[in-house]
Amino acid sequence: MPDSTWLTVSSRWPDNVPGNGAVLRAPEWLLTQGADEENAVADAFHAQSGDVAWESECVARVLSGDRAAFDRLVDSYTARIYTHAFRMTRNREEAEDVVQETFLRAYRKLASFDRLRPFRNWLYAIATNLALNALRARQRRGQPVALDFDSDTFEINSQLEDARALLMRGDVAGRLAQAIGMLPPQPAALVHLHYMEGMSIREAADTLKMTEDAAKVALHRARKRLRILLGERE
Amino acid sequence: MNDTCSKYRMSLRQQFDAGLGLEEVTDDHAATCPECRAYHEQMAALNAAFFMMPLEVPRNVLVQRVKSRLAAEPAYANDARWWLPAASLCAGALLCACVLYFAVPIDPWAWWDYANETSATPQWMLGEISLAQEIASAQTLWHDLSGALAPFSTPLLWMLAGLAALLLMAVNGAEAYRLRTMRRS
Repeated sequence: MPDSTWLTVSSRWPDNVPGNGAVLRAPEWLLTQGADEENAVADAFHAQSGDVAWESECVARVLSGDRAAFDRLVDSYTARIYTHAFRMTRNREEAEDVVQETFLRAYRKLASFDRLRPFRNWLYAIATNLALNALRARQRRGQPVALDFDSDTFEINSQLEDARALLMRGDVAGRLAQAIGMLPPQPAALVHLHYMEGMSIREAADTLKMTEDAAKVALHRARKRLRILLGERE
Repeated sequence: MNDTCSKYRMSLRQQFDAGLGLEEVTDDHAATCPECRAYHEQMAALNAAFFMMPLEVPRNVLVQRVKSRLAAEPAYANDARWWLPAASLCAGALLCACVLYFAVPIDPWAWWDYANETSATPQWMLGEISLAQEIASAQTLWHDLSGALAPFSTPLLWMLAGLAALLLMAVNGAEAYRLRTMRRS
């Protein structure tokens, strides 16, 4: 079965909300199992727009014994948390483990969650901790991982030229996704949280346990690298 | 690249980080500086690409795996005993009242009569006629009420109330223990 069995529902995306149909999907298996498409799309919309009221309502329902409400949160956030975990770990199995553990921890600690704060940010913070733990475990196994940029310089060497040649294939969005995959874990996650999830720099920095200034510098460097990787020079 | 270019690019980056559209950034400088115009176009292209970038697609089994793992977790109590904290608070207050009733060897209503003595009323209050009238009517009401309640104020009833309070607190403690062990398991 192909992995890309997610339906794109771009036509339903309101014009006045950040993001677009390219990232608003309802999982096809959910629909084939009889789930209401309108509800699935509505949940995806709430998750994309970071609707705190919707999240809070779901959390309240879970705490009053409605297990299905947490399943809705899982449906809506799995792909997002997976993308974040994958950006950090670069490993599908590890990213899947991070996603599973993130939802388990969130469920167990749900009673202590402050419902006035965005559930999404809390979920990302848990996932970040778990992804960092996975990277540290990898380092202990003798596989060094550079979390951040080693230096501000980014020389165009032959290896990078090869990477750029590879990136020239495919559409712009796909090329950009590949280019982000070549960034160190923390800046890659920062780009995802800030540009794709619409978090402010402060929120993204808090989630990744960085200072706001460090996040600004990392974003600047990330953009610079992305532009170089995509074949555009400073 | 001169200072004007640097300032222009800095403003572009600030716009970019604030999530604002770069199309709105119009500056005379870009019209006269081809390098900065190219920079603007590149940033706008990058911004648009971020906007269109798809999520990584997990395997379909992942959601099912997460859900089946969550199914093994105990559900949160749907019979939320919402009344327990309030009842426990009332029980605590009642218990304190019982202890005071038996520990202090005076009539529980005596403090009111004591407070009503003229000497205990501040002089400034007596000067206010309307206020004094209000107080007088409140006192009358209170005396009527205490008179009606007096037959119920027996040691046996207070003891029963104390026992009920203890029972309620024990139930509350048992519920708290049950929730704690459920979450630990």
